[in-house]
Amino acid sequence: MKGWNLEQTLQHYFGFTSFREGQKEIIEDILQGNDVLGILPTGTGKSMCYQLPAMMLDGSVLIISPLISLMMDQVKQLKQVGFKRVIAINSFLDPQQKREVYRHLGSYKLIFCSPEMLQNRRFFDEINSKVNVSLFVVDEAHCISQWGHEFRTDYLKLSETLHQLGDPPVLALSATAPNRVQEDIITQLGKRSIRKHIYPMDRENIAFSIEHVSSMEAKLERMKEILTSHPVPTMIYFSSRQWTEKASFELSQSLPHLRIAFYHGGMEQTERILIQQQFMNNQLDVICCTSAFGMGINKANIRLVIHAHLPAQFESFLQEVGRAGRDGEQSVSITFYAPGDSEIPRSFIESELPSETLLNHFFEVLKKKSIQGEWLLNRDELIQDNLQCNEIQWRFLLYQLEKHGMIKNKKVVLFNQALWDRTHYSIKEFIEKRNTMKQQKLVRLLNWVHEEGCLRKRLYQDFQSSIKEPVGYCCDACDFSLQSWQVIPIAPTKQAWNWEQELRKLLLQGE
Amino acid sequence: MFPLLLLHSIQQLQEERTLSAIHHIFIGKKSSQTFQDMHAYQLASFYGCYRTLKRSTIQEEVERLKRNGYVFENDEGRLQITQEGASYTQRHWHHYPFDYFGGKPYHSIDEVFSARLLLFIQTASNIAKGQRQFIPIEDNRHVLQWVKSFYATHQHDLTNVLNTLSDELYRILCSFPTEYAEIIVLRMTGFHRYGLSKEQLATKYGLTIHDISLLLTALNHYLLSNVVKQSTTYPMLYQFCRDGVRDIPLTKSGRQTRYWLLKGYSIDQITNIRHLKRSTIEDHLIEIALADPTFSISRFIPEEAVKHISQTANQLKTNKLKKIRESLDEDYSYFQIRLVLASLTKGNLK
Ligand SMILES: Nc1ncnc2c1ncn2[C@@H]1O[C@H](COP(=O)(O)OP(=O)(O)O)[C@@H](O)[C@H]1O
Ligand SMILES: [Zn+2]
Repeated sequence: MKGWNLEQTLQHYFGFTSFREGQKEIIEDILQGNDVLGILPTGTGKSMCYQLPAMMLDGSVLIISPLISLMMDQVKQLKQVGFKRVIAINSFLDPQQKREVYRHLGSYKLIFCSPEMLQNRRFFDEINSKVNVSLFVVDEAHCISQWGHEFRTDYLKLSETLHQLGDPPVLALSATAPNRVQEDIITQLGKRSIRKHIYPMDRENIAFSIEHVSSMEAKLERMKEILTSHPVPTMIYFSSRQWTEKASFELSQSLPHLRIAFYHGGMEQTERILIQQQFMNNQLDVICCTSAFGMGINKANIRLVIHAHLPAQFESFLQEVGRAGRDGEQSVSITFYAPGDSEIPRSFIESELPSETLLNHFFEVLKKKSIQGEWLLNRDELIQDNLQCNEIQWRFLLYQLEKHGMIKNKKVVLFNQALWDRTHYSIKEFIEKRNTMKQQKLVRLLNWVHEEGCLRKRLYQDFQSSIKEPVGYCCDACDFSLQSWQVIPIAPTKQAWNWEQELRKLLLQGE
Repeated sequence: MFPLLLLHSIQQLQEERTLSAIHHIFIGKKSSQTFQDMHAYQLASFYGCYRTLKRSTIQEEVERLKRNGYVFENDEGRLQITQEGASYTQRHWHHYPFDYFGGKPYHSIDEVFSARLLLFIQTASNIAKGQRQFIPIEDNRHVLQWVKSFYATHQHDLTNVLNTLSDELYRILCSFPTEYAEIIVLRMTGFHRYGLSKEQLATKYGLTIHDISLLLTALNHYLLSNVVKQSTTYPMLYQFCRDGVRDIPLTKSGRQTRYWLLKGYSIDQITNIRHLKRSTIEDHLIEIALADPTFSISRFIPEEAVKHISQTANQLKTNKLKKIRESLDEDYSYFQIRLVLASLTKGNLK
């Protein structure tokens, strides 16, 4: 290995002959021991930025990832290229497996885990005592900003963990992080001197279109027309579960030649997997979904992403749109807007964090109990006191109390008027600040919907200073119209079918 | 299917219990009240038939039944079936495989059995086709682990396993009506496609999501009961549920009688083979009926008789053999009555 340059090492381990944009620069910086923030568009190979260093550095690379499915994908990919010393620590491991894994923890080159897992004392001690962490990776680092402040609050504890680990070099990776989110990531990690490698995220093969209509019914009618003239693999995003079901039903009725289904977070796990995989496997043409459908979706030939409802911010919108045209072919984003549509994300924002009433009530209950001494905070007990808050709000409140010193060792401390008032006030302020910020983000998205100039330019301007020339159509304002968009329609698949034959096929009989 | 089952259950309750009783039976609540209810109102086979059923779903369905004039709320606030409701039930009941439901005995294994089977089919089908990467349709850790180790023990003769599995499934599915066999196969996932979701099956067959949930459970129970009762005919399929069919506590002599019974011998033949008195063999049968959830009494006593005897026992609210026998004009033997009562207490499969 000595004397090899980076390209040769890349070829040796992964069989690729050259680096993609950004990879080499980032890897070089890492190998020099710098902290790095890497913003690379989806699909360019972010993971390579730590996979290759893992092969070259002594010790292990620890990767913090928000979703188990993402970790599993990574592990699978690595094992596929023959790399075995990799593990995803997750709750699927049974106690015996866990013991086994912990025993050999130091021997893994790449260790994936969730931020919550890292806060597990037992696990952290194992890492701290057995593993020489040569690189600390925060994958999907925008989660620090997007989720960390509210319900995945363990993301905010990463800087402390880093410190406890003796400040190893950090690599923060993301595909969607506008300037302010980048700032947020840097602040939260406490790495002011981090080296930034920001690559443009505009997708030159996606055209943008916005249609203003009068109502939800009108949107559905338009969808029917569009899918009739352009029957292509399509994702349609809705704001609610009910709408995905209703739309899926209506569209199926009117478009019997297309295979349409819905997907949302309220479905049983197996049903979710079946629908998601059918879509990936081209057994479905159109999927009506909520934002629950998405992360980790790697289907190359999605041609059309429709937003029947707006999300609450550009980041989500771009992530969802970015699932189109992974294969580089011309794809289209269509956004529908009807008067009053802004209400849905607006009220969504308001319901995310505890309301003022809830907060007041919460503090009253805490006071009542804490006057008698410290006590173990327990959600069920509070529910008995008529405190109705959801899981997200609950975690948010817990984190805030901890942060302000009202919870110590899982116990609420003895009542103290000054501490109570201070905490109450600062949580209230914090919520207001977050809500205002989110409302502002929403307003920017709403402004975009009413943009008369180039949609592409406006869409990406928060994220990067210049944009690439589109390879196909640009947007409504520049050159795009549905009529001129030529597509290869989905071929209808109708086969005679009987269960006997199908069973034989499934079990590979008579091949 | 769901409204019918609800109507039937309301009818069975004879206004003596509230809707919660039905809900508890359907979701398989583990409480002595529920066990009592299901036997008292002969709903034992529907124990746990729809485990994810929401209270609100039942309520909505009841409202619909009310609007259709099939049920009404009487003065005491209990639901009562109307004439139309009863005749509707009678007309449509036999369109659906309600007799497939096995109730409590299969409660602990039905989901596991089908999850293992479906995941193994997916695994074997993919790997035999050379595809090692696929997303498992099941994420239950225990099921994943079971299939992993089952696969590990069989991977050296995967082709053989697939042949046997295919053959057994083919034979067993032939005993189903075509439409049901279709549904079972459509639900399966293999190398070339992922199985249909419940929602998709419901649309395809013009059913509601509740109907299809019930139907899938019914089909699964029927599959299981065939496999368990004829474990020697379906040795491969039996492996998917063997550990769930608990060891049956029997006397040594009773176990021997069971052995001959499973081979298909009649009571008289066993009496001869074992040189025992007929009454002793009959005692063994009672013992088996009490202990073995998969034991079917239909070989020894006609369906009609089971109905008569159980109804009478219920009406008299007694287990006294003599009373029951007299009330049935001595049409049935003590043995027959004991057998029926024994199978009732266990909530056996038909
Ligand atoms: N230098 C490279 N040359 C060719 N393919 C690469 C290179 N780097 C990564 N890839 C491939 O690109 C694909 C996407 O990589 P991934 O890390 O999953 O992307 P991202 O996380 O940025 O969406 C993977 O299949 C990976 O093997
Ligand atoms: Zn433009």
